[in-house]
Amino acid sequence: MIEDDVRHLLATAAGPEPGPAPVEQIVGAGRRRARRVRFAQVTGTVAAVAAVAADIWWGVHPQSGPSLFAAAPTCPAVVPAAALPEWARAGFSEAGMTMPYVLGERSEVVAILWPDLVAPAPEGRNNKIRWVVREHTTEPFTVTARLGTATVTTTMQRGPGPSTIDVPGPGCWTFDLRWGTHQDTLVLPYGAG
Amino acid sequence: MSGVQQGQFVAARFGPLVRAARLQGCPPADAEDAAQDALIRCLATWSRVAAADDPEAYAYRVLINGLARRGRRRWRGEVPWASPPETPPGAGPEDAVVVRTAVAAALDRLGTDHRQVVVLRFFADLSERRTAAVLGLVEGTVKSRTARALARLAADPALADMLSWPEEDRR
Repeated sequence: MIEDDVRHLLATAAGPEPGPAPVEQIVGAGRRRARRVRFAQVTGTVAAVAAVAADIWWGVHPQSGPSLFAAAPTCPAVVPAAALPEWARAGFSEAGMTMPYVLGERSEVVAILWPDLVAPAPEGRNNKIRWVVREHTTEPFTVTARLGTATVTTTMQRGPGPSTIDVPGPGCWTFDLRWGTHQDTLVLPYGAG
Repeated sequence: MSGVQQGQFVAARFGPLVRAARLQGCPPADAEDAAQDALIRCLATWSRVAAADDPEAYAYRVLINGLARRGRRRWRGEVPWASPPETPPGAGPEDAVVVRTAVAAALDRLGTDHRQVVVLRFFADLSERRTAAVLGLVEGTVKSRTARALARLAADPALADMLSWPEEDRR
């Protein structure tokens, strides 16, 4: 059976077992990474709570003026690479199907990122996002990014596709996406530039 | 969270992940880095690993994703060659080296997707269902990729003397 031959060949070609695993080193690094992840989550939660508290404060004291804060969403510091939904793979070679992407809340759209997003964008580098919608369209695709009171809007007249969306500061930006009668929302992390 | 469980997980998974990374085309030093990185990521989200139906498959998934990230950022893997290098006359390399060279060349020619499926199915010994879960595919896709990959390996001249596929079935 060719399967058995392939198994044997792969076992040989994989080379010898490496030396013993550096268990303590890996476990220690894993704990440090876990702390960083928890810190990022806590920071996001605290920011959200602070924003909500600020909104309540401004709600109780409406004479003070409009709210300066919206409830801040949380998001991972880095968007992990994963296999794209099948409907989002058009235009990618099979080898490129594993990409960092974020799926819209309604699963109508994906934002494919490369590389990680940073704000403000360093000179000579733009934040590239490719938008893919579940049902192909050539209708104008409007992107509105919001964080607090800051807003960035752009419209792709020929429908979703590659875009450059630079925002003024780092954080979890909420993207409101509209095309035709469709709408979806997602949150993208912009790291500090 | 159990440090003992984590240690056991690392000790058990390190070797297979390193060897799987080598088969994905990583040079040996990079393969160990890739395996360590995958395990560190697993430990950082240990609750997910502990809750996973298949922690072994979860670790392979993290490894595959990590290799994809490395490929995009800096690591470019081995450079495929059109045909296996000639064996120097009289050099008498050991059989394992000959096999390693021929298999590496054949895997390079398969392309990333088919290579992933072959390594997961026949090195990691994952079922079609588990392979599909690792790669985020449906089982049917894994099945068809496996069949295509095996046919291409059977037809690869570098492996001509190493596979027992009947000659009339080779294409």
